[in-house]
Amino acid sequence: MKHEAEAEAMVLPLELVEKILVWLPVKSLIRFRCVSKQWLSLISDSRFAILHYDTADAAPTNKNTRLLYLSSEVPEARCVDLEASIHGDYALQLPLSCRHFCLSILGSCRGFILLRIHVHGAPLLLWNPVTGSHRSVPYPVADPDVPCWGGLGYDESCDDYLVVVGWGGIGHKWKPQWEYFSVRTNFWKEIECGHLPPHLVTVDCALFCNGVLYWLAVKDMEVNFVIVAFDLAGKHLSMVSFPTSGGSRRLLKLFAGCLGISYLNFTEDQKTEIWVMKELSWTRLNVVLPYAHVIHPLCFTKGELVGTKNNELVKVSDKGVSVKSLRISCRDRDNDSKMVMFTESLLSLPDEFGGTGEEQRK
Amino acid sequence: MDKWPSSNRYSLKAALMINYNPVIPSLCLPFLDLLIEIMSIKEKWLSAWCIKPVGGALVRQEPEYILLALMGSPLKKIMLCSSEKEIFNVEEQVMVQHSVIINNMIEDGSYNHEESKIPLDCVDSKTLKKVIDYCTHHTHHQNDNQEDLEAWDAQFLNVDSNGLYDLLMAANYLEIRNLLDLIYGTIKNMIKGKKIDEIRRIFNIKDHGFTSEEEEQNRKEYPHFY
Repeated sequence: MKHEAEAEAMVLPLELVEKILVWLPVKSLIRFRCVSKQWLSLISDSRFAILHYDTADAAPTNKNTRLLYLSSEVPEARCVDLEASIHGDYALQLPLSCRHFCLSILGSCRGFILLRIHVHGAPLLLWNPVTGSHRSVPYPVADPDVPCWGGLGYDESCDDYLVVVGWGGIGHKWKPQWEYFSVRTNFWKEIECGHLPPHLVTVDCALFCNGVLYWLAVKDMEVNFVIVAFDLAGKHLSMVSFPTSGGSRRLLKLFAGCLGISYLNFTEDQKTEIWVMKELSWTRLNVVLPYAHVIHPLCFTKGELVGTKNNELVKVSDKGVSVKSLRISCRDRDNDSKMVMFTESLLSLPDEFGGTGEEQRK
Repeated sequence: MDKWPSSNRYSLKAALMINYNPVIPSLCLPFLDLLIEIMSIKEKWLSAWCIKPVGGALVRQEPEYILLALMGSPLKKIMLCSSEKEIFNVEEQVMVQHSVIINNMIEDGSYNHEESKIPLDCVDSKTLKKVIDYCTHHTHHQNDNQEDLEAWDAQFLNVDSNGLYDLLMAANYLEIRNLLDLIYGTIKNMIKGKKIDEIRRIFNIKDHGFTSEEEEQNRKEYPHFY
């Protein structure tokens, strides 16, 4: 009798189950929707998705961060958990509508990826790779051959996702043009950029960091690189410069959510330097990278730098030894439009009803 | 003090338990003066923890309480009462540091040190003892290095799932943040890679609520996780 009473009493109340589930990785949670109807409604609740995302983001390192790349061998996206190990990856199904086309990644934010489909008239796609849900965004640039760049960001002040697209610039017929699309209001608006000197953005994909989108650009036909920044709350473009010039660069998002730049100078010693922006000023990190001319840094995990070297993912430890690892078969272009660092989440877009062909639980 | 004859210890106990005021049996007074001289006990310490006689009877105290009071600063104790009506004396400092509920009770003055016991009707004695154990260890060893604390925690949570469930409910009721986080972390690691059927067993979910079609579809979608 006592055992029966105990067994009945021993069911954990849902509020405590939630407190445990909030710490699990997204992959586990997707599966645990099958445990019971209660768990299904708990995990599918948008309130839980927000709680889960915020909890992971509040930790010193976000355990749900992954490297996602578009595979060139099979029409799928692959994901690497860099924190766990850089030796294995897993597949994520691309949305059915774009699976067999040439794609590039224009940005990522809070678990969503902005995809560009290289087909005339195709829309942009906002895609959550783990839940599979996606939404089309009509593309403002009529001619698909016009090189353009983009970014995806989240405006905390109004709980809205903004898609930013720009095209033109130095060397093209057009002055640079910028527009942003608000997911909530569902239309495009022009961004004022006349106050900026003529510039040309050199990367496809923006980096979203602390409410601002960043792109690398060239200014005034100079060799000097600048960073173009778009503040999402104020809808305002600006330029950020940094101390060094020349060389080859890449934007990074580093620990504590700071914006970083990896700078490879082409001088004799071929060192890669990493600079971090803290409180509006640049400081150089004390990192030594060997084989500098072939490693493109991606991010730091557990104090070690992870980067790509000739289509392979490598880790560089303090001792400067590079540990070879996973082969990434995607075209490793310098502007990284085939791979992106993103954070897995269960979040859904505001007012999302689900696009055509969306499978509910994939 | 162990070497003192028991009669002396008894007198000492009696003497120390009487509030030091002018109205003291003359028998005790010289003894008390001597004690103060020998042990250099400050007068305020004595009055801080000396219990006034309650209703003519002196409240019982454990011997180690007296010893501690003589050796160091006064340690106020509080009484916790389990669901099985067993009373546990715990240092106030320890419980206040860890349990938000108890801290609030003491702060808002609803707890009367001389009379109250805090009734914890949903925590049984075995679990309450464990919880007190956790809080006491973490207060007394808070300056230990991280690895030692983690090892102790791991050993502490080496219980069966019933025990873990009881600890979780108790920690939740008493709002002991660090114990809760510890248990959440343990359970999270326990379930991370497990199959659906195992999760149902661990969480004692007898009725999953899906229709047979839904359940079949689930099994088709995630065949490796059943």
